[in-house]
Amino acid sequence: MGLEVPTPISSTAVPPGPGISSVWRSLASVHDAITWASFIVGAALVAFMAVSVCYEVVARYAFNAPTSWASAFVSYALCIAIFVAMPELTRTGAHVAINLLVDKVSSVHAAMLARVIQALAAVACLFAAAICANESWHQYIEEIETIAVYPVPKWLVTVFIPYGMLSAGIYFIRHLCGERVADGRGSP
Amino acid sequence: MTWLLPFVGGVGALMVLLVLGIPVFAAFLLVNIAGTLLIFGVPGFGLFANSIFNTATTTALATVPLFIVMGEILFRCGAMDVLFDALDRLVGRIRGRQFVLCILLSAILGALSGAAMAVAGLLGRSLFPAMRQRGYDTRLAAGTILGGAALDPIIPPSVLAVLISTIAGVSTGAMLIAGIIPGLLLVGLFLIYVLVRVHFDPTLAPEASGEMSELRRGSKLLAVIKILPCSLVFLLVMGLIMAGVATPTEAAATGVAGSVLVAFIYRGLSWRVIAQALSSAITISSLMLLIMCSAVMFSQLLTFTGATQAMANSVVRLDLPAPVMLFLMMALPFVLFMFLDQLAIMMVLIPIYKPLLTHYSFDAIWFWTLFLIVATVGGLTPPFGYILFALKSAARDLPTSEIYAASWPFVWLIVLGMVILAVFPSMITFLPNLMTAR
Repeated sequence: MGLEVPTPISSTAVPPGPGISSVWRSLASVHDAITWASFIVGAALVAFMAVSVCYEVVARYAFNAPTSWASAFVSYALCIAIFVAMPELTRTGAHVAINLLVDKVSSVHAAMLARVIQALAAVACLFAAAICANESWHQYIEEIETIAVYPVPKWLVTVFIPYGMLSAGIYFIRHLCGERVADGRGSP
Repeated sequence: MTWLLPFVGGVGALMVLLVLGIPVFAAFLLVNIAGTLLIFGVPGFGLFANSIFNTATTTALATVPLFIVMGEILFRCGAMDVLFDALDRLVGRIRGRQFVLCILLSAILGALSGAAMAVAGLLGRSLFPAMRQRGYDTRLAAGTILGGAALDPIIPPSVLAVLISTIAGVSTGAMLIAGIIPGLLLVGLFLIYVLVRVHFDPTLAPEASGEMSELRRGSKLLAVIKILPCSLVFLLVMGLIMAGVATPTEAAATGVAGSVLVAFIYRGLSWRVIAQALSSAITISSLMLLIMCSAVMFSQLLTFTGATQAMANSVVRLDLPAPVMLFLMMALPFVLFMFLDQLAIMMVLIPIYKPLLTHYSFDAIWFWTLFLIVATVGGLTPPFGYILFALKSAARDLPTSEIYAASWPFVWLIVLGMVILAVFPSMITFLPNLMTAR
């Protein structure tokens, strides 16, 4: 999967129907656009990590002048990258799952099972999003900083965890509501 | 036995959710939220959130996306064609040379990327049809591709080794280095196996002379020169780690720079290649690290309830001899990896195994390297080995039963390799000890 222009998601992934209003489709389009943009940010952060660490290696070993920020920023970038990419993985149904049972049952039962799976996954993500958002809010109020050589306000990093969880939870709900998975890759 | 209920309840609920087909990370989240609520109540949710944050900000895990970027760039820049061409010139006039070529190519690809599925897919699309066309035995050809691809997570750089070392709390550098000799041993076993089989049953491969006429002729020296840039990337990454000059994360980032340079030398460097490599890296690493972030709390809950220690104590009370215990500790994941996700099993088993290592005085790097090999075999064993599916998707006309049958000899060869490594632990610990000595 490359960084191609995303498919026109709202027109293909959300079938027009009596139960789905144009407002819903517009919101879905906005959601998809944010998801795609955040996935690109995730990819850019991987590049940032590579460049930062290379810079650190050169600065330390060639010029004997190690940076104070590289290690901390790489760990922050890793955290942010994982969770900003999460919604796109959910949109495309890429998450790792064991399809042992789904493959064995009839198509009718498989469809029912898929709904149960999506509902449970949505509950997990939304619950985790609420817990992590609460924690980020607490860090913001208490002005808690990360424990590192180069500390930053902790909420600036942790806020991407509830973002990823919330957006992924919404995708599970969208799939539950009948939207098909945007890319047929399925679970690896 | 107060630990038994939370242990059985937690592991049981997790297994039910996993078998239902819920994404692995979501299954862990559900069990952890319920467990935290039952054990700590609402105030425990802070621990839950912090376990995700602490795992996601583990600097050592940055090695995962960096190794993937490195492999992806090398895969996409045409380096594989150069390697294939060079090896094709280097492998001599022997019957079954395509089998040999396949195993050697897999080992080199493993040293550059470590992505077993990608290698199985690549060889399944390129080498496999050519082997069948030339009259090579289909089953053995499929087997060499499967076995060869299974080497990739063992030969460093290996993402799986990084994950295991992080969960087990051992040196990532030592774990990476430890995979070199086992990888070479397995390459040797595979080569001996195919050559012996071809020797006793010549119908498995066509005459070497017939094949040589089809070969591109050229200087072997030129072939070696062509391989040099790729070899330098491997030597750069592993050399920096072994010399103790750089951490695995720094070595991986240097490897990324090296792979960009190699892509430039092979004239395969473009923004498209870089963008695709970054996209693959963030996708694959996010999938894996999300599971880790979601699962760490599970092992913390097991530890807090005392289940981990109590389980270990119960096993210790059995007073089994060390070889028997080692066999059981490897047999359990061997079976589980056949059916369930590698990372999920690792997140549950590794915390339980850790106290047992101390009791039995098992060398940590030796043990976890054997565990890494078992995890790798999980990708090769029917019915759900992911490498089998990668080959099936590349060679759609090949019956699944044929792929299953092709994989078993190589599974047993790897098991044989594990027995050798278990009997001679220094084959694993020699290089890591050299590194420590520095």
